[in-house]
Amino acid sequence: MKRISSYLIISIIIFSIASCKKFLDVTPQGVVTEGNVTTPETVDGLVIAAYSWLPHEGIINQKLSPWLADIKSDDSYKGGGGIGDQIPWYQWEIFTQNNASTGNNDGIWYAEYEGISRCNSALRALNALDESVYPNKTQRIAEMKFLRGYFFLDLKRWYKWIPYFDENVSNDSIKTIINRPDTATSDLYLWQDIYNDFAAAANVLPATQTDAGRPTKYAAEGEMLECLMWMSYPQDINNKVTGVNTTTLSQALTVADDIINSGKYTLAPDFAENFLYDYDNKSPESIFEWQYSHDDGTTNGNLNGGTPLNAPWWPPYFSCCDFHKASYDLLNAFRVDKDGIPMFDTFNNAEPEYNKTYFAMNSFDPRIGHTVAIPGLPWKYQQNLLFDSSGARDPNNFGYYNSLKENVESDCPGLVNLFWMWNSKNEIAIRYDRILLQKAEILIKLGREKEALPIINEIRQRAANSTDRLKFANGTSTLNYEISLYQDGVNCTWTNSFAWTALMWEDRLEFAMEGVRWYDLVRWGVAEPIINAYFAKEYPRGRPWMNGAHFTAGRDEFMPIPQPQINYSFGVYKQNIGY
Amino acid sequence: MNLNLNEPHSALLVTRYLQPLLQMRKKLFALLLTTFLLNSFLFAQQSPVTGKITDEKANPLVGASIKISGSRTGVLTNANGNFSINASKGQTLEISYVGKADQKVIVGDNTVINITLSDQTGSDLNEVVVTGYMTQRKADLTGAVSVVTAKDLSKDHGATNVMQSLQGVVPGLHISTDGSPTGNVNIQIRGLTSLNGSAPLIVIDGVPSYMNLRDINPDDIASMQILKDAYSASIYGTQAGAGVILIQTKKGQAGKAKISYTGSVGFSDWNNKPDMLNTMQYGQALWQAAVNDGQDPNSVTQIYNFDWHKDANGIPVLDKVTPRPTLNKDSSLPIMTSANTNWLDAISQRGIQQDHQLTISGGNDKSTSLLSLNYSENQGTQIYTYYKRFSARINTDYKVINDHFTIGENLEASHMLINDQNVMHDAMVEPAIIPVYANDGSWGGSSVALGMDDYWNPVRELTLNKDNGDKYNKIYGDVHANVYFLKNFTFHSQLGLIYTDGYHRNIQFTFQEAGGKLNNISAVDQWYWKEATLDLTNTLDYKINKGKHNLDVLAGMEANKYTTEQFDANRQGIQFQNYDYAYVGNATGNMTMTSGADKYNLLSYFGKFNYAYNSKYLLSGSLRYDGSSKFGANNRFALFPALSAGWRISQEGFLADNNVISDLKLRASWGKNGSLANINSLASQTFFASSYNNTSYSIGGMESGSLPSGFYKVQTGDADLRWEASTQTNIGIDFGFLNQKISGSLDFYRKYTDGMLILPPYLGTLGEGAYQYINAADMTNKGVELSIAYQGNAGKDFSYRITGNISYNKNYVNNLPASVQYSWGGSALKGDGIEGHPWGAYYGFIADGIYQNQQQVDAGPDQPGKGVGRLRYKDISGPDGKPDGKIDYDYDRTWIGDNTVISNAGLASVVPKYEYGFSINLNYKSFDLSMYWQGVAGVHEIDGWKSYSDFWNVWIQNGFNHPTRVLDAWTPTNTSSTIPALSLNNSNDELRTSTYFLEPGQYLKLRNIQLGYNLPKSFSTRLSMQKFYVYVMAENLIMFKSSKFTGPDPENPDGASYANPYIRPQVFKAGVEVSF
Repeated sequence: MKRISSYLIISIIIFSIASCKKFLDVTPQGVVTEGNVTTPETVDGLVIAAYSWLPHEGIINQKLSPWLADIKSDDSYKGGGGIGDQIPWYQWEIFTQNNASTGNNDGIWYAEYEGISRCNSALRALNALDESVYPNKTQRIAEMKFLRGYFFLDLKRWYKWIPYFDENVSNDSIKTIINRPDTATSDLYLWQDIYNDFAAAANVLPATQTDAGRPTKYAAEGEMLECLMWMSYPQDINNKVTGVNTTTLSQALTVADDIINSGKYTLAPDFAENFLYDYDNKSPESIFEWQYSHDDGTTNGNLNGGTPLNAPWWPPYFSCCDFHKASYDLLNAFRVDKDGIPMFDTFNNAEPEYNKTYFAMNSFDPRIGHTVAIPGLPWKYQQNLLFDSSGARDPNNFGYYNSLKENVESDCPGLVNLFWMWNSKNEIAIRYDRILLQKAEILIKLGREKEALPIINEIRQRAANSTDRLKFANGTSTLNYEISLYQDGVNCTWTNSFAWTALMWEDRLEFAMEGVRWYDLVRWGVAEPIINAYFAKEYPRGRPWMNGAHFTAGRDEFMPIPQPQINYSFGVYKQNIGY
Repeated sequence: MNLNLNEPHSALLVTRYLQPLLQMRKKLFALLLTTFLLNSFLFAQQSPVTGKITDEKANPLVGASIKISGSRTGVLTNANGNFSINASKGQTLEISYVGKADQKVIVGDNTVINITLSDQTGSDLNEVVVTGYMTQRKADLTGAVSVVTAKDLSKDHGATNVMQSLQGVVPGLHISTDGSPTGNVNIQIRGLTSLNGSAPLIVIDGVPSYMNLRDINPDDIASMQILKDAYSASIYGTQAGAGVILIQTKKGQAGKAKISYTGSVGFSDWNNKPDMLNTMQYGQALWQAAVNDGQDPNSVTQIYNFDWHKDANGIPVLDKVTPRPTLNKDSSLPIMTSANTNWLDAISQRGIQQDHQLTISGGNDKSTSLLSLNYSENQGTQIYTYYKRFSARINTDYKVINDHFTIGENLEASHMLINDQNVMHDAMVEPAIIPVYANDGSWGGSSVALGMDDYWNPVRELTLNKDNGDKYNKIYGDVHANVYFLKNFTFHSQLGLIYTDGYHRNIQFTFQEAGGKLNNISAVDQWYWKEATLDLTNTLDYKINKGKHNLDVLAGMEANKYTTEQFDANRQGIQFQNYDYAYVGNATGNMTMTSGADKYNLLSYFGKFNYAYNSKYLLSGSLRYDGSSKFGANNRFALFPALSAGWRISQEGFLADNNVISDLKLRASWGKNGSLANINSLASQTFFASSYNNTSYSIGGMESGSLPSGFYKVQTGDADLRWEASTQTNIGIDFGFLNQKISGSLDFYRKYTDGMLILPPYLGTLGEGAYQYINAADMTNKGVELSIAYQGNAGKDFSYRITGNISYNKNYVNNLPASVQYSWGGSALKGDGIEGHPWGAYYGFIADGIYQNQQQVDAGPDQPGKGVGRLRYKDISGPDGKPDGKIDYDYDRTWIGDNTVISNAGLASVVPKYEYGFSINLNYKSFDLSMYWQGVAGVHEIDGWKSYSDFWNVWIQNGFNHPTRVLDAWTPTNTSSTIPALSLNNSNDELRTSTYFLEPGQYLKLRNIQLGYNLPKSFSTRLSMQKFYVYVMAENLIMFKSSKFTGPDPENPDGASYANPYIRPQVFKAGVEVSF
């Protein structure tokens, strides 16, 4: 009996032990709470996570890599393995098939706001800390505002009507923020919000940073300038540019001058230095650059997630995937006349088919050699490696001309071949040549085109100086490179109108295939005529997929608000005009 | 007085312990003691009863159990089948033997009782069924429980996963399988219970888990019970929402030690292999696609040269296809002569299957044990793929302290090796012109330099990875003890463990295919993973029979603890690519490590009773109070009640004398269950993660080396998060006619799942980590199940048994919150979410035939890419609610799945509405023949094969090879075709989900056919054998499907893009069963 009673007792004990409800208080494994990460010791972890967002933003349907804007411009075709390879990009490219439900659209929206939330998480934690326990507080807040502004700026240029909020807005309130109030007649208030973040950052940030990846005062000013350049061309509700605001332009000029007069920046002696792995953080004209790395303990490296599809289809050097192909229009834009200046009106009268005649018969601005990979010419300055027509994956649809700037040498240590061709070359986000040309643009719009002339010529002189790397192994030039400075009364008449044309052309050539062209066309209000002319000329050039392509003014300047976001907002969001 | 008064032995037991018990003065038992005291008054005279137990052929049954009803006194028959037991007149002897129907005999004046046991049949009402912490006679069941015996299971000899053998056997149990050698199965009991999956709880020898049944040895299973209705399952509370599968493993039998061997050897072959284009056919189809697009065929390929012309009507005519003789652009790579490879043949093998099981069992009336050893191997139908399992089981039971205390254990250990590569997609798309090997014997491959796209050589993939694979070890089992006390009480305690670990060390080999595709990064990956579930169960059971009252009450608690950890290290750069060298520590390149862990606990209290009055009126109830660490602090515990009742009409007086109805029972049950499967253990928590991969940044501008990193928000929590609960009502009838010659049951049920946990997509502006689980959508399943069996014989040499079952299930989603209304299809602009449709229903366009001419194209709605020979999509609606003359994603899609009328296809349903199975077993003298058929009906599915077989280029990549169906595509001279014209581009976006891909998915398969021969006893005993049985069998020998289903097998439609469809193979085997 004792035995049985002892069993009973044991069982009662087991009951009571197990009934202890603490049994259910299981500490989650491998994760931490918000309280853990907002201390003075850990808050840097939230700050660095905000920096790391852009490199980790993902690929294809999440990342708003600069080159995606080129697809919509006259610079570039989507490329890849046919129309079916990333259909959404094809739909963007021809505009008529682009709609709120188009793929690869919602991901970008979502991802950019993810980046913003990382900044806001860090900002909330920083705001709550006392400077006495966390001396970097003010600096880090300024950095986070810079990053937040950067992500909002990306969204703003792409979608136009976006919900804006700062770190003090609760999630419940965020849900009620309207992207386009019914009463809105202009989007300038959104630009102002974004501008304010950069301005606040510029107030605090130092002129020089020890860490190459942190923004300086001038980086923030570069972004202030970008905002002001958009604000100077106000748009009406139908995306039509209604004029030029000279007050804003004057403000922009001050900002541009502040950067230029700092004396910190000069144009790199060779244009190439802006696009070479070896010059990461070394180009004298780099104002802010995104840091990529490899062999850094992450799975494959913190590599540029925006460009792994953009290498040619060219084993054994590059396996994938031949996206981002230069248009015939762009090749022609690099043609120069006998005086060495662009053929503004007749540039597109030649057919850049892949044959030696076209390249032999024409002279080109040297920047083509830095921008476009041409079969028969060295790949990315590699004199021992001639690019080859077999690198084109679908020449029937997309031709033979690959993009060079974001690509690297075949033997680059930063190249990571995961079938997709990733690389860890940094991406210069704000460059001094851009600041110079923005200043020239301001001056022309302010009627001071004479002052713009030397700036544009400074850019052209550097281009002229940048031919050392554009040579075959035997030392001969890879193409007939010609470029002259504009000389009023000699090879041109430097009127305001001519200066404007020259400025627009200079911007196209200097930043070709860098995702700048598209935004310039929209900002200037000239996208509709230029893109439709491009379609008309390009379609018969063996681009059957351009059938039905058309740019509709008042709609196609901006992407539609992704349909899922419209759905989840339950009537708070208004779709962009025209969609 | 009641019968119990006549049970002297038990009375003796009681008195032995009565005194000390009384001294304990336990108030709790005071009332009960009255009963025991009464019992102790009477001592009846006992005398030995002897006899012999035999089977129907008069063979003695060794080790049969003879037990006095209501007591724990029992003996076993000896080697001659004889027994002797002390019993008194009026007592009931219960005789049982594995595989035989139980019998009861009341001791009369005669003290010699010889009994013949007949074979157990499914309809035996005295069969004892395990029902979750308790057992019950089948006759007394009030829930919907299906019982599967070892005999049913043994039909699929050597099946990797025991569930494969149950396909179509149990009504309401839906099982789908594929051709993977690992025996993948998807199990649903009575439809999909939750969006989080419908994994039924698996309880092996009383230990609950959601284990993969692939890991257990089917040969060790004695019986399985499928608990389908809420009452039966609800004793498992939160784990039982999707039903429960109880498994009992085989136990040792007392008597002479018995050794048996069962083994089978056979092979599997790929069933319905599609015909793929050969090299010339590929050229022909490519030419057709090019001329259809108005392109010069010779300009679109560097691989083929075409001689062609246009006829008088301007229609292109192909004269000659000339493939390029070699596939090299230049000579820098090994020469590849153009080939005519059948890639599906190249990756295929005849997969050898074998299964060997040795079982040794024995014991006496104090202890029994069973030892089994098993080796099972199943090679896949793709080369170098296999599943191998070694397992050993030891089950023992000891009776100690005069039957008042028993203790035992069940333990199985297994080791598995798996290589389940599946390169179907790659083999389907690799053009035939590419050789497997280049001329120098190196790997052939896609000639990228000649414009071919990036296909991988699938033979190269399978071969390089042949020694890569996963290894698993599993140990599971339990120790259990029973204490029988105070006559009617049983205290049961059990500690169960399920431990699994996995390991691999895989090499990523470098290679170069002669077409240019290469991998120049070598790496080694070492992965370790383990998980363990510990389960402690204590129950107290009280049984009493008093007059016509029969009551069984149980109370208990259970604590369950789950932990898992894993670690993965991958390092690039191994100088010697062999397994003896390649360890992470020997590699020199970039190293990455990941790890993970999870823990959760479950704590439960429960009670249950079964009450029968006069074996006529039955009432049962259960209550379970469950708490889980997965749920919010405010809703950690929940109560799950259930109630059921039954009326055995056949026991009523008015039916007592009829010869037709042998059994008739009406059952009804209601209950509530939870659903815990697949719910993230962090579901209710807000948390951040520190992920180096996801938060590191080279802030200092370093090109490589260690980087600073931080934290990011992963999820937003909710302390109010609660259980999802499913409520189910079941009404059923069990019937038997003509002395159970015909038997069966019919069940109607309605299952309603409330507050399913979902992780809705959210407004992008909320940013990272705004994912928050909510209790949201509800789901309903309604259905009917019928099973019926008929057995009989014609003469003494021929007997037969025919069984069949059919079930119907309808599933739909209800009460979706606004935030997820359109998360699974539907357009906010049209307001037509998934609500009211079955889960998994397809939302897409209606394909409305093929445009035959330009007039039709012009008249059709606006659609980019529309044209002659292209699919026409139906203009369903527009912003004004009316067709607007253009096709778009927002207005012109609709539910093309369930209950929506679709063009040319009638009513569609995305899950089978009907599922059925029937078996025929014939016995003639020593021969037996059995057949098992299984089928589904009332289903339309997206046939993913069609994207391969009906289009030239709808995929991302170009120039895939295709099944020969593409040759029948629409052309100006083949206008009756339903396949759209081939095109190099997919400008009409025809891969979009549409009714074009929707095809009827019904099938009927002969799952199993088996012919066996039992060596007559006279021969086998001469060889000292108890049994010698040989058989031959085949699986999946015959399939019937709709002629409108264009793929090879509707069971594996594989709708996803770039899916790797894997068809279940045909299997042929021969086997033997011997026991000594």
